[in-house]
Amino acid sequence: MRWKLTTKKGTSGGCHVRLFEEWQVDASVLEGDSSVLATDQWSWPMINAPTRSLESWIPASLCPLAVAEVAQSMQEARQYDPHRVRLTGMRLTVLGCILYRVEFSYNGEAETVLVGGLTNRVFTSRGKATGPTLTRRFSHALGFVVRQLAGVDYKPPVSREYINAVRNDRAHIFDTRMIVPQAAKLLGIEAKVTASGYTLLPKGVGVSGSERLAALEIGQDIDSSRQLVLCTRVRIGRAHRNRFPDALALGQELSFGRIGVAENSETGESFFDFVDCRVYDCLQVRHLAFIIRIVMEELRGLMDRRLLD
Amino acid sequence: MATIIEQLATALQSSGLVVGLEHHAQAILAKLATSGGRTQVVKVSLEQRKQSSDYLVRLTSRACKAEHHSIIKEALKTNSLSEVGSLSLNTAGSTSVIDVRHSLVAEGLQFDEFVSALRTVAFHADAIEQRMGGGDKF
Repeated sequence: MRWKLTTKKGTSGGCHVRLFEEWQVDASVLEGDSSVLATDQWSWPMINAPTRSLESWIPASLCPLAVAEVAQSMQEARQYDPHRVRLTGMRLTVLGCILYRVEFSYNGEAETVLVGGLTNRVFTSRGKATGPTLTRRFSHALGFVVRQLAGVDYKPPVSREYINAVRNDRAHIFDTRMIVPQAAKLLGIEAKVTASGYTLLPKGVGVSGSERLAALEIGQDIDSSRQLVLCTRVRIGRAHRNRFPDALALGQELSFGRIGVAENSETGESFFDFVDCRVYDCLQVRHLAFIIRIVMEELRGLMDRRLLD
Repeated sequence: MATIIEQLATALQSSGLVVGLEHHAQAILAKLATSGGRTQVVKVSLEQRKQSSDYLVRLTSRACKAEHHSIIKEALKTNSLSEVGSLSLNTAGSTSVIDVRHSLVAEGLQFDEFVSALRTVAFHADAIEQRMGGGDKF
């Protein structure tokens, strides 16, 4: 049985509409049709003070609404199970738009049309005529206070162990599952973090018969099918053209991986490399440890038999 | 008790991932649809490592004939890239051929890992066959 960790990230929000004059219009539809006038955010928990006081950036008439919205968010936050949901912060935004009210008479009847928002939405409503002729009244700004709880259902995609391991140079940043250090630990060898991944120094390097076995370089790449792959590479030595068929035929003999030829673009020299690539997401720690052990054994045998010299 | 190959064959049959399948206790021949109406056959076999009790699931798919030295050189260069699936020279038959191979650890093998490797090997081998102008024989 394998388990896949899935996380959901979401934002819970609410919006409170404030019209400075009571007009017969469902102004909440203008929420998405308004401009951001001011916004601020601060990290959870709410014992953290906002970076600046609400009064310093929210219009005085909207301040009570803002305080009410913050209080409601804190109330809502208590409903979330802290073991399943991590709240990351609070965002408070003031939106605004202009709403125009046009009063006119048509066929002797008094009519009112409201036009507002960034896309000039039109609202019709019956109203009391203020006079016998067409009159225009330009209205006040319409204020919104929007609150958002960022990160509801959020779980970080990596573990705390991973973060600490990266900080302490025990895991490379690409290795979010830390499978290379874990596999190295199973094998009792050190996985040294490098700029491109890891270097694994096999046991017995420098002793009789294995002095030519180079370190294993493990890195990550994207293959042509856009899969994330973990590649293990070992430099074997200079490549001789007359050994090419033998090198390619070794692929039938090796348990894992193959022999490839890489060229040094500066010197033009060619080298035989051992390469093994596997899909990162599917790779199990104990399988990687097993593969590394077998690769080291087989490469030692290959070096000792001087098959590619 | 069913072998791992028989279990994989049963799972493949019910998954609808293959367009053709033959199998016995030790090997599967799976035909996969690749692209543009093409197909590719992958042999899946269970092999015991020499002088060891460890088993590997080997996936092998024929890509092209190795008729020229330039093909061998090209295959070795391709092998140095970050691709899943290894190109290897098979000289066992009357004509040398290039196979795409990939090995998985049999113990604790997960079906999604197997399917991912099976598809990758099939598509890799078929792309080479197509590039070499060899029709759709394999």
